[in-house]
Amino acid sequence: MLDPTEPATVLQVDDHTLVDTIIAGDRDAYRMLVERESTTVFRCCYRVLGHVEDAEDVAQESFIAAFRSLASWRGDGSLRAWLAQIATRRALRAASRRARPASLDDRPDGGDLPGEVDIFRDSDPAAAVSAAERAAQVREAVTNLPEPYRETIALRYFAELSIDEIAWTVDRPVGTVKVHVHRGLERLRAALSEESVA
Amino acid sequence: MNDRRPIPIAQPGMTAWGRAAERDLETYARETALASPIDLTDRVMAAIEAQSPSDGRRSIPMMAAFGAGRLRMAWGLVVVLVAMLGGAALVGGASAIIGRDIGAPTEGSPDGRPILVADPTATTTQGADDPTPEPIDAAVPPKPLEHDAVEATEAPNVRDATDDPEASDEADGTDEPEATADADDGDEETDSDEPDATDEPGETDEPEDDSDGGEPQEPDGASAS
Repeated sequence: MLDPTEPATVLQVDDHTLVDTIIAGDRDAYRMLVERESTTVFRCCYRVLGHVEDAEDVAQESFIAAFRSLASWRGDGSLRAWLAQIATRRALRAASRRARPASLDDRPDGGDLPGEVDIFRDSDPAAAVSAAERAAQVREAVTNLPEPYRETIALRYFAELSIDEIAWTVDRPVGTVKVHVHRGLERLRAALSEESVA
Repeated sequence: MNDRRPIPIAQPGMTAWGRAAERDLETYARETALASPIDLTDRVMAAIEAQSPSDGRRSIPMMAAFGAGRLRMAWGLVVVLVAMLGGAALVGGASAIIGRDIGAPTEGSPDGRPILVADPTATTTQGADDPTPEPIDAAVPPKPLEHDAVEATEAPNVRDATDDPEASDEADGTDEPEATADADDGDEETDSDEPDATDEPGETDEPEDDSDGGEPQEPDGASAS
């Protein structure tokens, strides 16, 4: 039985032990997992969707879906990468369904994490609008990429996974993932240049 | 001579585009490095709990269901056992009843004794006018009475047979056992009930003999049964 009251337990517990404990019926263990990976999942969803409430909904759905299919986790990759892939795919599908532009009001009252930089907070309104427009362009450009570049770029830069973690998650060779990242960046740059010219 | 430079594999412009896109993505990631909502964990756990109750909450109903299942199983075994015993008793009783007269249709009598019903085809010799079934086990109808009954209904073949005694003898030996001339083969009932049937066939032709042929008598066995 894992003790969720111990902060060190959340960070030190092994993924396999955590999954086995959850499958055995320990809901507190899954609470520990959600608390540990909520930031990664929520950030990934927010970076794809650009809307806080939508990101919260998709993150919640992703955690519920992961809980149902936890037994299908292969165990050769990290649990964080597996959760990030679930959240990324759900967020990309949600972004494809709706094309609502994000606004400045969608910003959360973030800044609680160490090292976080919130450019919306300490800049003038004109710079904030410019930054929001640029962010929307990047987000839209990534969303409009064809597969497999879209998922690979999202996992690499939105979920902040390494090349090896992406390779484990998408079950492709590392060299293939590198090629996908490279070509995806080129396509993304081309799309951003077209938007800048337009 | 040696001023040739190696040709780059990737186009310099393409690499610059890739790097520029990577910088844009890194900038975007820094700008959106937000903290997760505080209540996200509680929402997730509440949603999971609502969709599938935890094992702790299910433990008591599952134990209760398990106990109830065992109780139902025990009751089911008792019911099956009683049904088997009752069925065996019924089968034994039925086999004891049927074992006496297998294959004969029966009717229930008021005193509970089964009455064997005669085959309808056998009533042709008893008299076609009598619709009441004749009990078989009551008694085999005496041949003299049957003979008289047949004569009372004026069956043509019987009448011809009586007209010609010799022909009747031949016919008796083959088809008509009730008008047999060789009734003295040992059939005691025939001899006792019909003493004159073979000796004096002419008397059987007389319609005045009301006592024998006019009204077919109910065999005594009927009343006995």
